[in-house]
Amino acid sequence: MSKIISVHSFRGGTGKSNTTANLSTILAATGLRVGVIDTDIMSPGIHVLFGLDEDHMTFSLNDYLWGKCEIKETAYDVTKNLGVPISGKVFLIPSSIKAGEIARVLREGYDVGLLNDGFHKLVEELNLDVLMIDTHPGLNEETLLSIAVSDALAIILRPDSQDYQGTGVTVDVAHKLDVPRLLLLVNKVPTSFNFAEVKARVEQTYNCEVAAVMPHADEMMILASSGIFALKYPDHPLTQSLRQVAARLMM
Amino acid sequence: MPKIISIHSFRPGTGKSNIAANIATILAATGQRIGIIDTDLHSPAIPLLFGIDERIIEHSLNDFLWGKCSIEDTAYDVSHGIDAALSGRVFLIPFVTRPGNISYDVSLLSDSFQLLVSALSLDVLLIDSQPGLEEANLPSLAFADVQVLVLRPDEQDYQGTGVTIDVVQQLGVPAMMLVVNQVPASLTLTEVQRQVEKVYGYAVIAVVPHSSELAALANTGLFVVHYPEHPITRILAETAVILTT
Repeated sequence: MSKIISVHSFRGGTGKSNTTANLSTILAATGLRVGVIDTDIMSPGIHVLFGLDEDHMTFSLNDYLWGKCEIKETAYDVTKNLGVPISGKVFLIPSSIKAGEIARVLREGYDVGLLNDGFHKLVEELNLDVLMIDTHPGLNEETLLSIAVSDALAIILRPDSQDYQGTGVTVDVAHKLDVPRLLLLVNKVPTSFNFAEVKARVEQTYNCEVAAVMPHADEMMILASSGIFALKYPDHPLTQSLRQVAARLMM
Repeated sequence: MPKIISIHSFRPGTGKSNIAANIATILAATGQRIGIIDTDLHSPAIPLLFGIDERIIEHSLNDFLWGKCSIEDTAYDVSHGIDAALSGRVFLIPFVTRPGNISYDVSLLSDSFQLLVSALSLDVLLIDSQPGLEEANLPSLAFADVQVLVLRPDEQDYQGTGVTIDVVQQLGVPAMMLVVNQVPASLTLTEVQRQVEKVYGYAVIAVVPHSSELAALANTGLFVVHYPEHPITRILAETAVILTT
């Protein structure tokens, strides 16, 4: 039974793209066929983590939304780019990084229904076990759609006053949209913080399960989105945390 | 000479609002009158950093543009939140910008910036822009005297910054400067400066190291007030001087 999993955050800079890329890779490494779609049309970035550059992007999600191509044509098998043999597959559906194309979508908008069709066609046509949706921060039409069609939703926040505020709103919305599984991930936690306290506080505040409290890791910062952390640092506590999250999302 | 400085980044999470708020504070501490236009509505960063309860905010710049209030009504003096003995002033001006929603007269916006400067006797007007390439951002980018782009030394930011510079160049902004923020301790600050300047061809006016104290402060307050002797505070003070000369 295929799953659609959305990774969301109220604010930017929470580590959503990196988390999505790592969770996808971890799942693919267990033998699954995983699709990753970058719906953050305003500031696309996850393609960088999978080593897919502009010159190799014939079609992007933008082209599909303008009716220029089928959704399948926007999917790139990036499994080889991981640099490590894995038993499953990762397909990336990127958003365009060309300024003109970003601006065009923002100006003209697009049919959100098309995006929804796209999700389901991808699962079917690529025979996916999982479709992971990397969303734009904040609540808007597209993110509401992703949340509504997801079997599982991971909301990422930092232990930061701004993130705390916005996450409350998102959790409410997720509850109202009846998402079957909702998990919170507290990310980039300064090592000086008491992790157990952070977990307890967040669970209490939102009345929602915290799947992981992930530490700020210098190695992650230094990797600087140039690759997949879980592959480079398979034994790092952060990677172990991500594996646990991946397992929880698939339950 | 009053200046309009736009602070922008392609991706969210670069620390743009934090830098804007801290630089405003530094300048106000030298006796200057600073306005910050806060457009980044999804991130209530600026009000939180200045300890402002958003509920007291009744008017925004939008209300002025629609003729619903005076220009003075849109400005909230947040100086007391910084320090009761502050020699200068910081005014917060909320401005709601939504993607695809420029229903006001854009030339009026340029006038409103000038009006703010004269009505509040501002030395500097900072615009904390919404991240990303949105049409709603373009007026702020076009009417600024100086454009500051904030990025982290991260591949996603590097790519996006390149795209942003392409667009901003077409708008003909007089001066563009870069700030590299959240730099890991393993990288040499001067080397980062050199490399980023080489890649983009614009001056890097500050390279700010990643700081666990800043991270732990978690946007609950102004770093330069909490850590007045910290190297980062010194860097931001130098940056404030560069921006205003």
